[in-house]
Amino acid sequence: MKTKKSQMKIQQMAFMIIALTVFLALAGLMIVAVRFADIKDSASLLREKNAQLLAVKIANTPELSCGKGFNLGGTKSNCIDFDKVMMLKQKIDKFKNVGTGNSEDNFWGRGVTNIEIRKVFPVENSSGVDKECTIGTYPNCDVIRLLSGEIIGTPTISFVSLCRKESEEREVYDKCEIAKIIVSYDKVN
Amino acid sequence: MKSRNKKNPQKSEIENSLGFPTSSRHRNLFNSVGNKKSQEEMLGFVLIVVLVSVILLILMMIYLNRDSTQGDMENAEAGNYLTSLIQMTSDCKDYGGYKSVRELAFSCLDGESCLDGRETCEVLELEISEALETSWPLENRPEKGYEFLLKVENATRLQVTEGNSTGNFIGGVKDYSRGGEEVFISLRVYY
Repeated sequence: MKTKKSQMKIQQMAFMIIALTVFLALAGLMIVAVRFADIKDSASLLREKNAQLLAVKIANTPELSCGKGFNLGGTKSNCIDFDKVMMLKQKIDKFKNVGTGNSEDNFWGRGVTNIEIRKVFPVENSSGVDKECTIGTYPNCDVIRLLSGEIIGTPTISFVSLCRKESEEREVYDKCEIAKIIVSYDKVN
Repeated sequence: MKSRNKKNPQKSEIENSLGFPTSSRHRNLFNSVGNKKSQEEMLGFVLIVVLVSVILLILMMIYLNRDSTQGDMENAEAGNYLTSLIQMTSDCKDYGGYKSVRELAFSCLDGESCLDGRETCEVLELEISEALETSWPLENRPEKGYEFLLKVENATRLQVTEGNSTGNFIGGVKDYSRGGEEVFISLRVYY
């Protein structure tokens, strides 16, 4: 009788250990799954942000960004000075061979082949045909092609403010519009 | 045991009256009842463990499903768009010049008018709906809809919506502190 009772107790203990192990394993699995789901989310978010940062980085270079002359309520990030871009476009050839000496490098970064700034709102030409910005069409135009090389791979796109100085009745004010900066790389670092 | 009972019949009677089993038959019965009880306890415990495990699994599935459908409020694309939108110059002018969308939103909260007599809230709504309509076209596109909100604390002061709101969205939020109140400008683009 005693043997049977102890057998029973051992069985009970074994069951308890198994059940506890199963329970703890499931709880652990759940924690791991939640953790991994977060990591996956963070990774995709970081990848997306990095891709966008490549375009934002170019938009925020001193050669393109809005300076102190613009009053944008404290935030001057993602703002491109339309006048600067137009001047830069005239002298873009000077920037082509500026780099570290590596053939893939240029002034804008490694492997940058194409930089385009496209007005999103308000659109000057509603017919869908792009009106390229030149000294003659400025500021009533839609697209500024700074570097117009081959578009390889997926271009990185970021929304920016395209700002310029306008004057009305001898008063100068900031005129900002919504635009997209599209940067193409032949190699994404 | 019989002999013991025979030897001491009084004790047996007392034990019986108290409900204690004294015979071997009774002891066996007691043991089998005890075994059955512990078996039932074990079964109960296992059942509870299984039940809790199943509940945990269901919760995990719900959590993972929710993750895949819930939008990302800090999406860079929508955030950058919202920054550009609030920096955009509107055609509402006051004595300080043309107002940006952000300034227009604050004027709307104060109930001000433009120099040409139009209400700032009307101009704001018009500017935002036109900008969103052009920037996020919904026809033959993956975007299913969008929602722009101007909120003070929890009260919505301006809402511009178009299309359908789904569980999958990207979005951006800008918050400002103004006169002790929190002002939120948010945008959601649904896919």
